[in-house]
Amino acid sequence: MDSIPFGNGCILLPLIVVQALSVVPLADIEIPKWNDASVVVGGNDESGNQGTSDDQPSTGPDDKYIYQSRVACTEGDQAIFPTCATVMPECLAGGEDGKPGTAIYWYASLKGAASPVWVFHSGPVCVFGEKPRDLLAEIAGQIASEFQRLPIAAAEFGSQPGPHTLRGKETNVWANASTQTFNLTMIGQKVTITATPVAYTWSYGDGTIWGPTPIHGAPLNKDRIGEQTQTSHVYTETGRLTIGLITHFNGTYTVNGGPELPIPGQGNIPSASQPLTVWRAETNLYADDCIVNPNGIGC
Amino acid sequence: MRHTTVEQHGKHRVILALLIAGALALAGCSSPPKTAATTPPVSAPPTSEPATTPAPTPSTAAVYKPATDKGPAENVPVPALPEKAKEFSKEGFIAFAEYWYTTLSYVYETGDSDPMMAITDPDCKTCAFINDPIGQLYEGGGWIVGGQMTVIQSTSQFVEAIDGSFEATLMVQQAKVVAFKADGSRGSEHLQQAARANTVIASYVDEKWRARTAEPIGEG
Repeated sequence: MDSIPFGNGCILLPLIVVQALSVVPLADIEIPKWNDASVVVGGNDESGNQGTSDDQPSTGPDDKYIYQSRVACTEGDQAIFPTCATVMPECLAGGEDGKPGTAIYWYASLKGAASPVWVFHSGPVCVFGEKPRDLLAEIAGQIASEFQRLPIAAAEFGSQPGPHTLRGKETNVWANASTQTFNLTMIGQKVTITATPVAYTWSYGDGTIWGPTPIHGAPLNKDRIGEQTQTSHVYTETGRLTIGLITHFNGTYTVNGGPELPIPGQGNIPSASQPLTVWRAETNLYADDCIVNPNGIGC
Repeated sequence: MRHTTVEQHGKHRVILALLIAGALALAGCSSPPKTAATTPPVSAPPTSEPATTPAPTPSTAAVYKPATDKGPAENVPVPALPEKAKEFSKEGFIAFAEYWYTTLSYVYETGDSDPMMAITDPDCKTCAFINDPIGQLYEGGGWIVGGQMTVIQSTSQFVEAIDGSFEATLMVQQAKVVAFKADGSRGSEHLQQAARANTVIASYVDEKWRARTAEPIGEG
């Protein structure tokens, strides 16, 4: 494409060589990315880790960032990021004291900005021993008990037929629970907890317990009451019973609008028990003549 | 500005030529050619022309079209310094620092560093580090897909340093960069990285901000 002009007194042979080579730098220009530009100014004032642990990516006084840690390598993450596979085994194996560490991502925001904007900085890394100087870790520690204290509304439930049913017949039960969100403040951070019903434990009142099961059943149309359903039960004894339901909620939480993180444990919320009376049904033939048979049924 | 880039390119070639010549011990070749870099007959696809010559592009009907693996971006809006960025105030300085990254995006999308260098000291090292090779790439008919800069956050203490400069810090993320050569084959490629802190150092002279340098901060 390019040509070196003649007329500089060169003999032909080196000119050809020069021509051939002169194309190379043009074709293979190395295009830098902007982040590489720091190389040409000789690095920066970040002297590296001055801290005692890997708690924070940099703790130098001139660090431009403030940091947050976020729980790393949750189940979803492990499916996405191969780095989790290298970090997690080491992390679970434990540090010097044998206690397992916590995998975290570091998020950074500019120091001194009017309001922090957290962007992914690095990780996952495993943090052992010293508690990360970070609110999120503290929140993570408290979130489970906070979750247990939430006023999660219990599921509505009912039976069909009800509150009276018959011995030997299919009695259908159903539950209706809803996903609920709660906004609270923990250590000055806005925390949003979402409780999602995931399983149900049925107590039919005659000693039969079924669950936890993800099956919540549904009300039947009136003309089909008595049919067998996924949640129906057949009572073998008559009596006045109470039926009960415990709904199991999974929780997730976000801090300051960050990523959704799982809450360990479940919230087990009982619904108010309901009375159910099981009656006996007898079928008789009222065909006898009472004069012929005075002891006949109905006589 | 574009002419300067070409000359620099030429110099590199001359040095190479000299090295080769020296290696072959042919002293007769040592006088460098005076016009080593004749403007290459650009064999780029016709779509590349609006981007490499942004000035005559009609701005009214032109529709911006990002670069693809087929050709460079078209009708990239020429960066214009916002009014706010002319103010001597903290907000004005931050607006100026953010605008600087608009001009950097423009270099990646067009190879044209004029808007950047209109507001930056000529000896800005990081600028040359980016502008020279990208200018060469576009001159030779190549182009870049991506490379746009996104300013996520910006701040400044707006404290004047001893030398009269002010410093702003910005969290900046660059989009994935893929370079294409004139023949359409792929050259350098850089995946998108995490956002990173950048610093812009500028002083306010003659009623306007002028960047001394803009740099990504450390971390290798």
